[in-house]
Amino acid sequence: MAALRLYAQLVSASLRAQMQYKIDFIVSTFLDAIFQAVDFVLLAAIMLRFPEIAGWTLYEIGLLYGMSWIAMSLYRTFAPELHNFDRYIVQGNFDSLLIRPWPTLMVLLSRNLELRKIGGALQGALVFWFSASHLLRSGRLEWGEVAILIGLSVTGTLIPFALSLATAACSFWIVRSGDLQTFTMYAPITASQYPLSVFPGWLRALLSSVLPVAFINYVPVQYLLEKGGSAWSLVSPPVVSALCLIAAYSLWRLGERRYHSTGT
Amino acid sequence: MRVFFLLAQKAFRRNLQYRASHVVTNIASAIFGFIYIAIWQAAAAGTGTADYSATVLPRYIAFNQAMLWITIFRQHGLGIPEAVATGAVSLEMMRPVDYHAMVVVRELGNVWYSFWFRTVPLAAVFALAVGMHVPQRPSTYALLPVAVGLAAYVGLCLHYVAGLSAFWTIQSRWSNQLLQAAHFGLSGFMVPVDLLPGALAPLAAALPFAALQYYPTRIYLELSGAEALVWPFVWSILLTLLCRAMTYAARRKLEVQGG
Repeated sequence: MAALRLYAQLVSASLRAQMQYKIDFIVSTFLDAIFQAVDFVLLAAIMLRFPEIAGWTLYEIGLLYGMSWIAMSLYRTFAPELHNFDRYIVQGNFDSLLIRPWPTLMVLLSRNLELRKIGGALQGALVFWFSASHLLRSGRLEWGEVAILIGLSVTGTLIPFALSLATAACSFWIVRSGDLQTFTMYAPITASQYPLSVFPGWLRALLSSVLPVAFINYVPVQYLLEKGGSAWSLVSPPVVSALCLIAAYSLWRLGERRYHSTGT
Repeated sequence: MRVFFLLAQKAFRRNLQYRASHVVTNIASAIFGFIYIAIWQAAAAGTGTADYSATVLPRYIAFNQAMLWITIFRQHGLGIPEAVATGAVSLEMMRPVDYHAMVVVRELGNVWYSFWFRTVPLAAVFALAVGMHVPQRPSTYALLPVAVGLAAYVGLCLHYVAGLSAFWTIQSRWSNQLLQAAHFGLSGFMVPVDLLPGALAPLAAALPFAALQYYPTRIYLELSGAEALVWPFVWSILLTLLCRAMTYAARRKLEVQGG
C-alpha cells in the first residue's frame, strides 16, 4: 500500500517536471500522431489495392491493428525507462536505484512517465472502433464480443511489458540490450499488426511461443471472427500474459542479484 | 581533395571496428524484411497489379529493405546536432575545409561501409528467399548505379538539412522524426508510390523521398527507364543549393554555448 502511494507521488512529480516543457510536449505528441497516421495510411493503401490479406478484410485487420497499438502504447506510456534501460547499466546509474528501500522496478517505472504515448493508444482505439462498428453492423461481431476484445487489449499490454522487462534484464549479463529490442519488441509488434497466418511457419511458431505477441490480438480475434481456434482462445491470452510477466520478473530478479557496478 | 578522401576513409575504418555488433542489427533488419515480404506475398497472392505481380512485389520490398541502409539509416542529423549541443561545431567550422563538404564526405565513408557490409549481405539473404531479379536490358546496368548513387546523395542532403536545423531549434530530434515519418510514408519502401491512394501518389512521386527508394527500385526491376532519374536528379540539385544556403546562414547564426 505504502509502495503504491509512493508510486503515485513519484509519478505526479515526474509529470509536473515534464509539464515545464510545454512546447516540447505538444510538438512531440503531434509528431507521434503523424507517424502513427502514416502507419495506418500505408496499411489502408495496401488494403485498397488488395481487398483481402490471407482472407482477412480491412475491418478485420483493423481489429488486430488497433489492439496491437493499444497494448504497445500503454506499455510505452507506463514503462519508458524500461524501454531505455541499458544506459542504467552502461553508466552505472543502477546503483542509485539499489540504495533505495523500494523494489528497483517500482522506482524505475515511476520515472519519466511518457504521457504523450497514450495518444498512440487513443489512435489505436479509434481504428479499433472504426473496424468493430462495421463488423457489428454486418453481424460478424456482437457487443459482448467487442467488450471482451477491449478487455483483452488492456491485459494484452502485459505482453510487450514482459518482453521489455526480460530484454532489460538481459542487460545485467550483456550490458547493451538496445539492439536486442529490435528482435524482442519492434519486429514482433510490427508483425502483430497483421494476421499471423501470412507469415512463414518458423515466424508463426516464434510469435506464438517465445515472443507470444499472437496472444495480444490474433488468437482471440481469430476465434471471434470464426476463423479457427477454440473457446480456449479467449482464456489463454490473459493466462499467457500473466505467465510472461512472472517469467520476466523472475529473470529480472535473477539479473539484479548478479549486478555489479561499472568501475570509474 | 586528399583531405576529403581521408575523412571518408577514416569513417569507413571506424565502422569496421564494430562489425560484430553490426551482424546483430543486420539479422534484425532481415527479420523486418521477411515480415514485410510475407505481408505483400499474402496481399498480392495470385493477382497483383499491372506492374507488380505476385513475384515482383516481394522483390520490390526486398530491394528496398536492403537500400534502407544507404538512404535513411544514417546517424541522427549526420552528427551535427551533437556537435551543436557540445559546441564542437564552432571548431569544425573554423577548419580551413568547407563545412558542408566535410560533413557530407565524412558520412559518405559510412555510406560506403553500409553498402558493403549491410546492403549487399541483406540483398543476398533476400535473394535466397524470394529470388533475385536479374536485369535484362544492358542500359539498366548503367542506370542502376546512378540511381543508387543519387538515392544515397539525396538521403545525405535530407539528413544534412535536418541536422543543420539544430542551429535554430534546440530539439533537433523533431526534424529527424519528421524526416523519418516522411520517408516512412512517401518514399515507397513499404508501398510502391504509384499504389498510394488518390492524390498522394503523384504528390509522393514528385517529392525527394521517392528518390531514396522508389525510383532506384523501379529502375532495378526494369519497370522504368531513364525517365525515373529525372526527379532524383532535380532534387539532388535543389537540395544541394538548399544545403549551401543553410550552411551559409548557419555560419552567421553560430552561437557558442558558454561554459
